[in-house]
Parts: sequence; C-alpha cells; structure tokens
Amino acid sequence: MSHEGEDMKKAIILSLCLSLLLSLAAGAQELKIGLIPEQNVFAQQERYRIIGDYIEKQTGIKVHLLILPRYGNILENFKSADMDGAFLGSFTGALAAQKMGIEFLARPVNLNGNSTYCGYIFARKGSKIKDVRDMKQKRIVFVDRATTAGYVFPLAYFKQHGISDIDAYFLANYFAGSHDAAIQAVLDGKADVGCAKDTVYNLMADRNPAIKAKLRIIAVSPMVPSNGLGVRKELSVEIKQKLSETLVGMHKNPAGRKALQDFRALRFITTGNNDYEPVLKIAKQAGIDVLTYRYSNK
Amino acid sequence: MKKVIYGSLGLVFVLFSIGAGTAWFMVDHTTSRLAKIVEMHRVEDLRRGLIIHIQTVQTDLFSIRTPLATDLTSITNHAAQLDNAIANCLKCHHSKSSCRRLCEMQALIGDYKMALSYYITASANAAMIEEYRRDAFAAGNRLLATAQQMAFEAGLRIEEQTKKTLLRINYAKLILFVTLIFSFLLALAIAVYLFKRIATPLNEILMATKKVAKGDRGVTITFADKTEFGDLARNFNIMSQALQVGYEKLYESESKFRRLYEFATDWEYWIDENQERLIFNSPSCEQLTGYSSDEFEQSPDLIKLIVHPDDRSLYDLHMGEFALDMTEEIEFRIITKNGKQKWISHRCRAIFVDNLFAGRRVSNRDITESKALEGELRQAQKMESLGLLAGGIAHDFNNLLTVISGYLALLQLEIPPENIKSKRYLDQILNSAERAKNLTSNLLVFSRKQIINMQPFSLNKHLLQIYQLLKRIVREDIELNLECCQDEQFVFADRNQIDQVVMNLITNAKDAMPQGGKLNIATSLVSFDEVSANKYDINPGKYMSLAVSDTGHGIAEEHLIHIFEPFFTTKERYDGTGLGLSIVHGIIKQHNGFIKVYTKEWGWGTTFRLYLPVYGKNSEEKPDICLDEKSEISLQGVETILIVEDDENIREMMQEVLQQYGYRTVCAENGQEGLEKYVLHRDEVKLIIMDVIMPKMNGLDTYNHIRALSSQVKTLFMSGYAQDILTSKGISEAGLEFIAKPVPFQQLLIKIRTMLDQNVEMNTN
Repeated sequence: MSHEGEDMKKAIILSLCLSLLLSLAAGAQELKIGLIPEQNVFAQQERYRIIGDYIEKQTGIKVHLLILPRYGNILENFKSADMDGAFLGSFTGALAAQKMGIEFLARPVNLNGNSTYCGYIFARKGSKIKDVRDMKQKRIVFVDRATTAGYVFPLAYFKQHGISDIDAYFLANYFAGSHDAAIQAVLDGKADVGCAKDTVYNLMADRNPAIKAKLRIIAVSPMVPSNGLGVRKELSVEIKQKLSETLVGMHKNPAGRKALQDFRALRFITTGNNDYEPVLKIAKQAGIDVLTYRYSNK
Repeated sequence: MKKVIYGSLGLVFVLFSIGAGTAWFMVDHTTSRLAKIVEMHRVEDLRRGLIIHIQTVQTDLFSIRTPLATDLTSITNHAAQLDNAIANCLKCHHSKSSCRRLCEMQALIGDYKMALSYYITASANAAMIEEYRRDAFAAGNRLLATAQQMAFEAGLRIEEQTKKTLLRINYAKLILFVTLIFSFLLALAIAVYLFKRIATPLNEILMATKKVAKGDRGVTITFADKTEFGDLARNFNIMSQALQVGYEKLYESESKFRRLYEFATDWEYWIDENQERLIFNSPSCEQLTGYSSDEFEQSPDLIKLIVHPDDRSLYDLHMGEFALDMTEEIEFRIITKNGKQKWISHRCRAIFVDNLFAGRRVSNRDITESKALEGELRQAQKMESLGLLAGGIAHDFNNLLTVISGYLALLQLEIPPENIKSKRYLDQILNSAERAKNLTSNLLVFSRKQIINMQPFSLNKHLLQIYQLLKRIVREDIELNLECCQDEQFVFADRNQIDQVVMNLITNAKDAMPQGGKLNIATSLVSFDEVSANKYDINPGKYMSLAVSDTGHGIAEEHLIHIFEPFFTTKERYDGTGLGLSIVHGIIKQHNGFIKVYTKEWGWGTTFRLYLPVYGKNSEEKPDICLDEKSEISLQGVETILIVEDDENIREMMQEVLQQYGYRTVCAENGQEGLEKYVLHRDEVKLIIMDVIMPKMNGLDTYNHIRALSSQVKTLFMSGYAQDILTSKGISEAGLEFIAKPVPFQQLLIKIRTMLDQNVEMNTN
C-alpha cells in the first residue's frame, strides 16, 4: 500500500471522528432550565413553557423545564440535576450569584412596565390586624426561606419593628412554598398574616376580586429585580449569547410578542448580578449572611 | 306512452329515492350516532384516563415527603394530563350542559392542582402540611367523584344512545326493507301495467301485421288511445286502408288484365333479354301447347324445343334478330305435348325499359284451324272449279247426247225389224249413249247441276226402310248397325240422292274392311250457332247428322285432301270409277249441307259425318207427279210448236222428231229470234220449247217478253243445267215447266202432249 493510500485512510478516519464529535456536540444542544415555585407549580410550569418553546424555536436548542418544589432546592439542583440555568427569584438569584457564580442574562419587564417587584405583608381585613403589633400571637405564613418577598423582607421588616424571634412573637408560622399559596392561606383563614410578592398578589387579585376586598396590605418592601434567567458560568458563551439575544429580542418579532403576551410581560431586558444589590441589602437588614445562610425550610 | 313510462319510472324513482333517502338518512344519522357513540367511548376512555390520573395523583399524595415519594415531575405530568383530558372533552362536547359540566370539572381540576401545589410546596409546619394534604386529597376525591359521576352518566348516555341507535338501525332496516318491497311491488305493478299497456296494443298490431303479411286486406286495429301506440294503430289503419285501396285498384287492374289474358286464346309471354327467364307467361300456353305455364317457367328452352323440326331453321333465323327493335310476325308449326302438330302465328316485339333492352313480348295465335279452313277453302275452290268444268262438259256433252239419242231414236224407227244386225248395232250405240248419259248425269251431280226432287222426310224412317237393302250390299263378315236418334227432325232432301250418298259411303266402307269389321250408321240432331256456321260456311240452325263409320284401314293423310276430287281413287283400276265420294260431296253441297271426315291412323277406321239442314216441321208432302206415269198417253199432235234453241243440232233433231209425230214447228236459234218468230206466229204457236241459256236473250227474258204479248202461251224450258241454275234465272220460282237435257225422246213427247192437253187456265195462274 502506498503512502498516499495511508494518508487517505487517515483522512477518512479523521473525517469520521470529526463528524462524530460534531454530532455529539449537536446532541448536547439541550438546556435544562429550573423553575422555582413562584406560584402554583402547574401554573408556573405552563407559564414558562411559553418561553421555553420560543427559545427552542428560535435557537434550535431544546429546553427542558424542571419545576422545583422548593425555592432553595434550586441551588442544589444546579449540581444534582445538572441544570444549566434557572429562572431565579431575586433572593435565590442573589444566593446563586454569590454561591455558585450564576450569571444572569435577562429578566422580564412586567405589564406595568417595571422589571422589578416588591413584597407585601398582608392580613385579612376582618382580622383587625393593621400593623405589626396586631400580628402578635397570630399565625403567619411565609413563602419560602429563599424568597425575598416571602421571607427575607418580612424578616427584615419584623426586625425593623423589634421582632427578632418569629417563633415566639407569632402563634404559628409555616412556609406555603409559593406566593399564591400564601395569599390563599390567609384568604382561607389558614393563616392570619401572609407575605408574598406583589406580582402574584396582583395577578390573583385580578382573577379573584375577593382578594382585594378581604385582604389588607400592611407593608411593602423595596423594589427588587424580577425573576431573571441565570445560567451556570460554565455554559458556553455562544449559548449564553444566543439565549440573551433571543430573550432580549423577543418583542421585536411577532412570535416573540405573542409569547410575551401569553407570558404576561412586555419584553426581556438584560440583567446583571449588580441588579441584585437591593436584595442583598434587604437580606442584610434581615440579618442574613448570604454566603452562610441556611435557606432550607425546617 | 312515453309520459306514462317516464311517469312510472319517475314514480318508482321518487318512491325509491324517498325510501332509500330516508333509509340513507337514518343510516347516516345512525352512523353519526355510532360515530358519536364511538366518540363517547373515546371520551369515556379519556374519563377513565382522567380517573386513572386522579387516582395516581391521589396515591402519590401519600408518598410525597417519604423516601418512596414519586418524582414531582411525574405528579405534575399526571396532573397536567387532567387538563389535557378535559381539553379533549371540550373539543368534542359542544352542548351547554356538557360544557358546563366540563368547565366545572376543569375548575375542580384547577382546585385540585392548586391544592396539590399547596401541599407540594408547603413546608415547616406538619399540621398545615397535613391540612394541605387533606385539602388536596379532598379536592382529588371531589374531582374523582365528579369524574366517576360523569363517567356513569356518560355510560348511561352511551347505553341510551346505543339503544336509540340500534332502534334507529332497526327502523332504517325496516324502512329500507319496506322501501325495497314497495319499490319492487310498485315496479312490478308498473311493469304489469306497462306490459298490458304495451303488450296489448303490440299484440294487436303484431297480429294485424301478420294478417297483412298473410295477404289479408282491410285489416284494422281497434285499439285506440292517445299514446304512441294509438298513433301507431291509427297510422297502421291509414296504411292498411291505403294498402286496401291500392290493392283493390291493383286487384281491379289485375282482374281486368286476368279476365283479358285468361280468356285470351293467344299465348302471350315476355321473355327476358337473356332468353333465360319468362317474366310473364299467359295460362293459355297450356291450351295451345299442352305444356303448363310452370313447365315453361322451369324450362324456357321449351319454347324453342316445341318448334316443328321443319320450321326450326325459320325460327332460329327469327331469333337471330331477338334484340332488334322491330315488330316481326312469322308462322311456324309446333309439336304439342300430346304430339299434335299446330300452326301458330308468332308476333313479337322488343321491350325497352328505361331505354334498356328487357326482352321480347310475344303473342302466339293458334292458326291451325284457319290453316285447315284455308286448305278446305282451297279444296272447295278446286272442287268448285272441277264442278264447273265437269258441269260445262256434261252440259255440252248432254247437248251432243240429246242429238245423238234423238237421231238414234228416229233411226230406230226407220230400221226395219228384219234388219237384226243393224238393229243390234243401233242398240249398242243406244246403250253407249245411255252410259254416256249416266256419266254426264254423275258429273252433273258432282257439279251440283243435277236436277233434284227436294222433299221433307224423316231420315230415320227412310234409313229403316232401306236398312234391309243395305244389309244385302255389305258382306256377311261386316256387322251393320243403325242407330237412330230420338230427337229427329225432318230433312228437306232428294230421297234418291240421299240413297245414293248412303250407298256410295257404304260401298267405300265395305271396301275399306276387306277382313270384315263393324259398320255403323247413326243419326243425330245438332245445332250450329253463328260462329260455328260461319266456320263451315253454312246457315246457322239445326242440322240432322248422318254418320257412316267403319273400322277399316282409314284414309292416309296425303289422300285426305283428294278424296272428293272426281276420278280420284285408291282402288284397283276396275274396282271404282273415282266418282263415288265426288257424287256424295256434290249431293250434300247441293242440299246446303257439309261433310266432315274423321280418320285416324292406319287401322283405326273412318267416319263420314254428313250434315243436312232440317226442314222445320215434321210432315211429309206429296211428291211431285212422276212424268213416267204419263207414258200411256198419245204422243201424236198437230199443234204448232216454237223451238228456241241455240244448239243447231238439237234444234234440227227436235224439229225432225216433232214433225215426225205430226207437230208443226217454228225454229229460232236464240231468244231474240224466238221472240220475233213468236210475234210472227203468235196465233199458231201453242207451245214454246225453249232453251234456258242462250246468247243475246236468255230463255226467261224471251219468255217474259212473250208473256207480255200473250199470257196464254205454254212454255217448256229445257236445259242441260240443274234446277238451281233455273232457279237463279227465275224459272223455277215462276212455276214453269222444265225438262232436263239430254231429253229422252219419249219423255219429251209425253211432256209436250201433257202440257198441250192441260187447261189453259192452269197455265195462266
């Protein structure tokens, strides 16, 4: 066999190997995106399915949405479930950025034009709870230890009003796991005081007028960034760029606008880790050290 | 009929369409129902899936927060299937109640999912978590109960729908069956109706056409309606009537033609241009040739084959001009089927149809009889000529004999009785003169110049009287039979001459049967109409037939035309004179009768059939007084007699004889001189003896002139001709006295004496 024949053989083998690698690379074009239980897990999954489908159609990258039962689980799932990214709440986002170096790409602008939200502390109007003093020995329902609006802000608020021991001040407390569950619990009388983010509160209030009629907002938190998409820093720049450009450019094409309308947002904007500074500030007011904070519920 | 057929078909179509449409509608509706039932079953499957999903989630509720907890994704997936199931149900259910129930179900699912979510996401408070679990479980149970209730109701509906559908299927089957049955029965009824409506007129029309095809005329169809069959029947009747009218015209024309050609004796035919086929052949061909029309049509060559061999060349020459446009007429003989020979007059002409030669039209006429008559005419003319000749000879010969006999009579008186030798010589001369007289007498008979004594008498009675005499004439080996008819009528004839006729015929018959045989004499009464009489040149009326038949050798054909000629004989020289049949012919002709001879082939005998006119009444008249009876009277006289005779010898002989017997005579050689002599001697002349035929003035004219001068003069006419000549001269009708030459001397003197002695008044009557 001549040298030319051997060279040809090598070229063929190399071509085959390259093709195999490319196909493997193409087969890896799948992103596992986690979802925190911001609201009813089923509704949450349905809402973000719209965004997932749009990303798939625009980028060709398959998006697998993974609903999580707990806010805090999101950080563990980045490792255990090999998640590539997640739509994180403001506090979990801050945690992830601090602890795991998660990079934020974009966050939605709500229908009211804001890309932020705030937290409410509320009670039933019939409970005669009008301020923090009235809450003593009442039942309080939080959302999750890893939520700004559902725990960190109330904790900071209560501390600001001299209440350090939640268990002692309140008759009972528990974590509903989602903002709508917390609102519904107060509305149903399972708890006397509740806390949740305004976006979910207003959404439920729009659907159920009884919420505004029966609940009273007692405290409002500072504005914090809305739930944005954060990806692990190891993800390729190309994909990060694709994802960022796709989301930020959604409102520029009809399909994107339709998806945004169904998602109940105006557009996506770029976001960065610095945008989570207000969350860290509230956490600090609540006496939480983000790096050591045990965010798992009891 | 088209309207009826279209209407019937339309009715069947409408009925079948209605039935089939109804059945189709019901089947379609039922199919839709079945599809709905299938869909309901499919929805039922969805409900069952929904229930399974609920039950699965409900089961999973108890494993959440345990090491055996099902993955949350699995729970959410099952829960999401609930929404899918309801969404699928809503796609199918459109009724308000269904939608409402489904919406309720959807709301329950929403509640269940929310409760699930709350239970799943709740933490940090066991009591609350348990409460959330109970809430979720209760919501799940409500959902499950609702789903099962709906499934139960749906099951009932499915069952109800299934029953209704089955019922509708049965209805559809029944309707389809009834439709098919009614359609079949209606189609059958329509078919029967149409069959009757169509078959009845068709049969009638068919029968009528068959009748027409068989040749019936005037066939009409009684069927009538406003359908096409009615039109057909009307048109058929019109056509039939037209056919009948046309047929009647044709029949009338054909009848005229048939009457013409069936009664035509001429044989008419039309032979085609190739002489191979007879286009027309009249039935008279059989009458003429003996061959039928069929035989000629089967073999047209027969036309040529029947031509007599002797005339074949003439016929072939004629046929050589077959295609020429000219009319030709020839006469030739043919041989008939039974071997007879016939003469035909063949007249033909070419036929052209559309200027194309189409054969020849031929008319054949049987001219056999006219040919025969022509022959007979020629024979008669010949016989007449012979008669004239014989008569003339006999007349002149009689004059000579009159002179000879007269002078011999005078000489006889002069010869002394002792001169025996001279007397013997004189007797021989007188015998010869007598024989010569007989000869001239026979010649006169043949030439019908004989004076006959016509009397009415019974032929049968006369034959019976002479029968015995006739038997003695024939030999013993000949059987003589006499057959007399019952319806006899008298004939007006001379008995003696009839006797001579019978004698002559019997003599010939006897000679024709040398070996013996039968000899029949028969009489019969026959009638001849105008046509038949013209054929034989006789007067129409009744005739007595006298037939003399023998079984002898017959008469050869070549002799037949000569048998009546005088001196023609087939006998040995001394056996016959050859005047026998000539005398028969002359006598019968003189009696205004005629003779037919029937002779067959040699050995089959001959029949002579004589026809004599009947007298008209069956009574005999007294015969004339015979002059012989006056023989005893005195022959002497002294009166003056005027002799008018052109023959000088006779004149002188008579003068000699009369003077010998005492009479005085005055002689004249013709009528003119006789008249002059009478004028000179009118007072002396008591009797005039006058010849009939004389130059310058004949006897009758002379007599008339003399009568004008004196009505009392007696005249005795004398002639060598027969009485019919005298009749033509008017002598017989005038009742004048007559004596035939050669006048026997003695008889003349008796006659003269008798007349002179008769009363003068008798003569003047």
